[in-house]
Amino acid sequence: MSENSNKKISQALGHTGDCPALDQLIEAISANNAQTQAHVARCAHCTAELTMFREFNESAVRPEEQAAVDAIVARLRQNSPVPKNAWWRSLWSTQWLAPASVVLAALVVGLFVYSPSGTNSGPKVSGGEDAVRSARLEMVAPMGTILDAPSQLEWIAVKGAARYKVTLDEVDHTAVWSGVVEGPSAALPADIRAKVVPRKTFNWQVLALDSNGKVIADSGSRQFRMEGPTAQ
Amino acid sequence: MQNLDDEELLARFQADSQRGESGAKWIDELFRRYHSKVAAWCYRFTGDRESAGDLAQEIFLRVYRNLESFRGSAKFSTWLYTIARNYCMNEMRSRQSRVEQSAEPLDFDVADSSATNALEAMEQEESLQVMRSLIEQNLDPIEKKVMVMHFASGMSLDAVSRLLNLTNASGARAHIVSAKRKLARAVERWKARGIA
Repeated sequence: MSENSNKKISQALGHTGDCPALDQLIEAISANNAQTQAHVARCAHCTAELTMFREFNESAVRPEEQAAVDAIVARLRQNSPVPKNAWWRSLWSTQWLAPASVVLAALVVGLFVYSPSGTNSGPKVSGGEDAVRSARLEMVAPMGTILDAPSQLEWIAVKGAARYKVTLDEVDHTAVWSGVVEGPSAALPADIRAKVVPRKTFNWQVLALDSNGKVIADSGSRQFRMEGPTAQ
Repeated sequence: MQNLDDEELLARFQADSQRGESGAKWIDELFRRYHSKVAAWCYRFTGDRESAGDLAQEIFLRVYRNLESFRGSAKFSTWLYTIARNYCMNEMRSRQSRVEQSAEPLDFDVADSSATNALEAMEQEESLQVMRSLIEQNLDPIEKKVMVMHFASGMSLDAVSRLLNLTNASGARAHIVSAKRKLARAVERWKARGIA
């Protein structure tokens, strides 16, 4: 079949002058509009569009998709575009809790400053792990386009991991930050967070290490980029 | 909050926004309701969770950016679907044109050379309306859907197979081959009638 034949078939199966816009098609069919129903009955294009909408709106997640969908949903929750209300703001809005929260914050700061082990040297960077064939480590956030500089990097815990080595680089591989943590997240220090500016892309990678320092899982490198402010 | 329908959640968000409040709780709930649907949709498009996650994240970002302009002429679910559908189609077309030129010949793997000639002859003299009529009269419902999704919407055969949950061995490709053969025979019959 020639390119022209394919083009002709594409045109014949495409949106015609009689086809309603997609949102109007869906709404009209939902409202049992007889005229639209009659059109759909003879229009392959609109029938296919409605099938796709029903697949989106009505079909359940299939068993073979469940693990992937769960991982994507976890990522969507972590990377929500909706700005979170700061927890202290809700405390502030409750009158009697405002002074209490100030006292609590002062106590926390005091304990931190005077604690014998309170010296926060930050995560230590280790090196020299053996590069062996490793399993996949699943990242959670940040990934793709984000609205705010991330306060932390998150991933799914790996069974058998004693610690995780995290690296954050610019796209030209200039190292920005690295650290070793025990749990499946790493807080970004304020000075590093300040480097995450709009329209600048970063790569980050996580290695899961066992108690001997061997790499048992590798995330591969993933990117995130903060959007610039948008006019509303 | 869970008793509110989508449009009520949106109305409360818009009311909060007009008062200068964030309204985040309403939108969090609204988005939560659609996370699985969008995730499954994107996964069916791409077949891998990482690029599906990228698509899904971008869809919710676009929806969020445009929430205040949503006027409620359609349901929220319809509006969200329209954004998700168009974004995925455009992204997949753009990715295919960037990297998958070599994948195209698979779409046109028709063994019947007389069918090729017949269709080529027809395209010189026939209108789209005749082609639509032949499609309508000769293809079964699943063949029509597969043809529209692949040829008109530009979806890959793998994505069509996943979206329609086609579990036969060669998925959408089998329906494309079958539809092309039927169409070629229909064109020959149509031409024979014209000559007679």
